[in-house]
Amino acid sequence: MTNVLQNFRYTKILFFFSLFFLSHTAFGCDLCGCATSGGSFGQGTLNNTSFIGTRYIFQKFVSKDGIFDNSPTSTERFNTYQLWGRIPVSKKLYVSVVLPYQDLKRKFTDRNENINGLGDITLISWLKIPFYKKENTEYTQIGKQPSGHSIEIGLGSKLPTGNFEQVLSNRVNPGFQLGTGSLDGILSLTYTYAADKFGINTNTSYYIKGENKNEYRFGNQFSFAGNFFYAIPKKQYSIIPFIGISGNIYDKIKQFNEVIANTDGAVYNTTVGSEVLFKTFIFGANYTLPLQHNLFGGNVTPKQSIALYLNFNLNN
Amino acid sequence: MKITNYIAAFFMAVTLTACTSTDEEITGNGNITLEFDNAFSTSDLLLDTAPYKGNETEKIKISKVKYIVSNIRLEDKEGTIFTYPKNESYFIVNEENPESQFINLFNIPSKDYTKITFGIGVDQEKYLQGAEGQGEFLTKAQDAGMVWSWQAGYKFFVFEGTYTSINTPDETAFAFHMGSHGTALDNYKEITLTLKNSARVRTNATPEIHIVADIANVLKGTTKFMLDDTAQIHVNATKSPQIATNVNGMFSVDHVHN
Repeated sequence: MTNVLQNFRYTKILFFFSLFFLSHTAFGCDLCGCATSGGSFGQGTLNNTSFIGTRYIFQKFVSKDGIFDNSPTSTERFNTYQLWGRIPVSKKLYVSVVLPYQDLKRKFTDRNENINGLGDITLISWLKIPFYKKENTEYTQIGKQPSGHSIEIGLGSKLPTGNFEQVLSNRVNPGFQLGTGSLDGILSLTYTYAADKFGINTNTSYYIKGENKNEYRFGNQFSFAGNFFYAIPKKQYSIIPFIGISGNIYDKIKQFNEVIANTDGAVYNTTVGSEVLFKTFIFGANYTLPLQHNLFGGNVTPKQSIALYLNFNLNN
Repeated sequence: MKITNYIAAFFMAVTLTACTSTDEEITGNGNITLEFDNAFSTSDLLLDTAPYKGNETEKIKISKVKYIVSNIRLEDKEGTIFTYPKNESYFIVNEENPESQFINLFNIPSKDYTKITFGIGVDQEKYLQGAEGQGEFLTKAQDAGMVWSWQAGYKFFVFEGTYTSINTPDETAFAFHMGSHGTALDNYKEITLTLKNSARVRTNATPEIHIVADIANVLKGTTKFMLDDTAQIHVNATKSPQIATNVNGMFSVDHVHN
């Protein structure tokens, strides 16, 4: 056990060292609507435990490469590799960090494009407010039985650590970017209820997008996600399958303070997945399928996405 | 805790690098590109392939679309108009030649332009300069088949192909050639389009105005043209001005790249 703890301490130090190091390198410009915002992929695991880990996200889009009905299409495949974590600062305060590496591919009818590199780092601090079981007639937060309900308020930012290229934004899908190039604000609210066998986890987030050096400003974004999970305990581990819905709603993009037409939209998804919870780590996998969407005047079609993650538990 | 210090340092580093000055003094000249993208309704125009729906039962295959774009003017946010030098302001857009669909204009004052005006065809002033005054452009137009050999004048707009209909089951040629008829009939018309986003000309930035020309409007515009009634319109004092109006109405600005 002490061994494990030492391990964690070591990883923790390494993690923050790398974060600090990255803050001193490569401040380019960019971010993007679809690719780089975590959006409905969420900032944590089902039961909001503390962890550090890695996550892989695959997203696919089909976009019209032109302005006409018979214009050809391009297929975009976004691979995101993340170092992510949720680190306790105090009993009620956590910090979540997502450090992405983007590998974006786009296939046109006659050529291929590929951009890769560091994406936009997201940092959110969370204040956890647990609720306790009723004593007499009043709710109280002191030392009693946890009720299973908890609320977390998150405040954070997305940093312009990924590269933004103006030339790419002139395409039908301006989301083909490593980053937005902007410093964005994130307001987030999470509600979790966990009973013995099942639970729900909901999150709503609002992203206030900043302007980048190209005077380009992605539209503000509202994201929501709700998951219902069920725990199947086994001897050495638990399987926690879940099903959920999520959505991302985008405002119009602005450049030079002028609204760019057909750049707003929304996508609503359903997600199925599972986490496998061991004593020291969590393995998670989920599959997301858009149910309804209208992005960039219908010119961008989101397809399926897949996320895989392996997190080491910091709670014990 | 040390962690919080690191985070604070990180935020500060970001905040410092994020600060940039946006005040700029705009001077000098730059360039601008106009793209003339021909369409049929909401589809990109394809020559000699897909039959397009004309009026009623008429189906058309288009083989030629050519027009003269001239006298380009740009209006900025303050309403100041920049007129491109007249002698360099005559162009032929030809669907068969992709290069001709991009008109590059040089030496434009650095400004935010919000409106564009251009003419379709050759104005009387230029026409009356005679062969000498029209110089290079006359040769260019002759090479492109945009001059009537049997009538001193330019074809402003050429639209050719074949069609079928319930009354004309066999593929039959059609041709609309529209222009001024010497000095007797002036068919030169100008169009002003408002840009959805301003075109920001800078010494180091060349905006591109993407203009769509919906060729369907030639048959389905203000005046409806049935090819079964008249499949060949060349010099026609009644119909030529009507075609000119339809041609005028086929242009719109889709977007501006800055």
